[in-house]
Amino acid sequence: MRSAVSGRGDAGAAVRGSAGGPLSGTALLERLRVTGRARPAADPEFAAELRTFLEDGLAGPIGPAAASRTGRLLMTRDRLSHALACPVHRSAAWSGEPTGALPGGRTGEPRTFSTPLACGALVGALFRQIVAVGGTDDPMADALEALSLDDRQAPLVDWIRGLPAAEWSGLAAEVDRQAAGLLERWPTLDATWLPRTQEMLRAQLADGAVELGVRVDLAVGRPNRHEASVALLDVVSGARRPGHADDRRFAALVAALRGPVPPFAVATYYSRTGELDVDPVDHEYLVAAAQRCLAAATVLLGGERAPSDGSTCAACRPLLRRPPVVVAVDGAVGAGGSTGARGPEHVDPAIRVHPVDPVVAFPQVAAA
Amino acid sequence: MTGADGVPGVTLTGPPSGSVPATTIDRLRQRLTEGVVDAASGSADDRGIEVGLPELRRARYRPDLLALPDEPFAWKPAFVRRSLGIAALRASAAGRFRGPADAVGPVADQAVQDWRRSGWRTFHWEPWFAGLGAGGRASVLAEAATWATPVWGAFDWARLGPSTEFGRPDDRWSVPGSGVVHLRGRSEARVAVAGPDGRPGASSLLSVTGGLPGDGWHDELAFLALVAGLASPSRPVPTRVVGLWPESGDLRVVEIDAVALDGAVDRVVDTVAVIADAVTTPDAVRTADDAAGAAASVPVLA
Repeated sequence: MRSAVSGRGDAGAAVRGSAGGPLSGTALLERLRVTGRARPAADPEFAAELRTFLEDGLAGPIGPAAASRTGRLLMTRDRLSHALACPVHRSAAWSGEPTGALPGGRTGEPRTFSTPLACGALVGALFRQIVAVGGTDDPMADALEALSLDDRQAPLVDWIRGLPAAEWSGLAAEVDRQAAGLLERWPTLDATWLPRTQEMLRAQLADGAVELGVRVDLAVGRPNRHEASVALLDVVSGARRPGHADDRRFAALVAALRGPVPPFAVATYYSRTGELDVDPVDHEYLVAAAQRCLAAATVLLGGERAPSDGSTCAACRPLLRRPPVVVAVDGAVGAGGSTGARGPEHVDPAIRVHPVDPVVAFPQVAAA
Repeated sequence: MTGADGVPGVTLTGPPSGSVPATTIDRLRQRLTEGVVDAASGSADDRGIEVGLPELRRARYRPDLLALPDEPFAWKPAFVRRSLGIAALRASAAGRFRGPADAVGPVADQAVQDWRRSGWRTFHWEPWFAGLGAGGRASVLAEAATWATPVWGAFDWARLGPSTEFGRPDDRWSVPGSGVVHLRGRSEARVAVAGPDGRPGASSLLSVTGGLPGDGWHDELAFLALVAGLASPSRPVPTRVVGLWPESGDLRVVEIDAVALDGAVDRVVDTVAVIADAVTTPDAVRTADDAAGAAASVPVLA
């Protein structure tokens, strides 16, 4: 195993990498720990108001649907994003849209893989390994072994193992590169800070009719009932995109609803570049998150969508020039274009470390 | 709130509200036996029916799962996290480590060394863990640390003292006359407390569960005290059971008295009825709610 010291961000308490480079070592931790704002104190009145706001808003949509619903409405980051996606996303990318009657998992969504998605899953496993044991022997082999112990990842592991040699090499090189960056920049997390990897957070609303769930790559900080003391962090192997800010807000909301004190910060770490986005959490932040959550829940429960202004998100704009293409896992390509690869490539290579079950691939969009 | 516990309103070591007399246990044993024998009658499963917390929850919230055949067992990190996590908690509470994140690696290494030295090879995780590569081992360690850390953070274990037992053997009790029904109580920790009269010997139990608490959480926690009382008649019945649901941040307490234990008895009888039905008529599984006549939500199963 590569030494826990060799290359770790805490060696020599590094402040920055090469001039102007990404944060590392104690500087990275300080960026996460010190948001520039006072940490929120416990505010039971605000917590109750936040819950009431959501439950009052849900009362209407839940009412008519309750009689026919056999389970709870499970809300995750991906479902929120889907429910509030731009028209192109909604009509093309999510043909198997979940409805309000959601007993559990998604239905109607073909599962496809891509090298960016695979990279995200592999780097996620490596981040967990580096936090847990401080190093890695062979990043690609280690990450694949970790994924292979998770039944849910079996199809992805099979897909990766079946990649043609050239694609395998490219993927392995990128995984190696990102693993080296993690090792170089991430310091050892002291056990007294109670680091938890891939921690699941859940909260219930409306007597259990709605459940919010989110899994974060890292939670750190000893829970304290008087003052916010926990930071949540996700690792992203792809490029920064606006949806990551929404993901952070949702994680903060779930954490705020489940405990007496919200997290003081939610962050996204970009393992490709070493960038770290940190949002301090306050009342305004949580209210915005609750409004978005309520809007999505209303859609998922069969209510009205907010009127669309017809605009599309940046990722979908090119699709208006070329129709989306569904690519099967085995590489069969539908009408409209060809990826020329076994796996599909989404137009946006940014993939969260926890794969989001991409459902439809879009043709590669050449730079204009 | 007592000083050592760390969470307002939830205490493992506070003074108990009362104790359960032996006559109550005798009455409950009788009622449970009659109810279970009746509920299990007609069960065609000669393997026996084991009732623990997982079965109580499955029968109430997901009875459809009871009729499914068992999958072939294969080790995975999720199956090791409790065993290794408890060992890490024990070592941390003893002051050997600063917390589970530090403890899981050395504790796992020690367990493997012990296994290699003794040659002891039973249904346990050490041989499997020893055969894993670096990525697999890290996954197991991370899973155990993440399981144990919220438990470690919820209480000040170092101050709770050396009498705390982590991962003690399950309490087991077979229902006489039923022939096939066995109760199993599994708690994550047992903490010694002074009894109502100030004398030692009483205890509190801690139960750690994944997912969200269902609407039957009260009976589920009381069940652990019931089985402990039935399995060890010479020991006082635990006076309190604390439930921790790390994913939802819930920490709930049941003070054990006759009413709480009666609720647990009812729940066991309902569960046996549902399991017996699932075994004999797997296509027509009735729910515990049918038996109880109450509507239940569908919480996440741990």
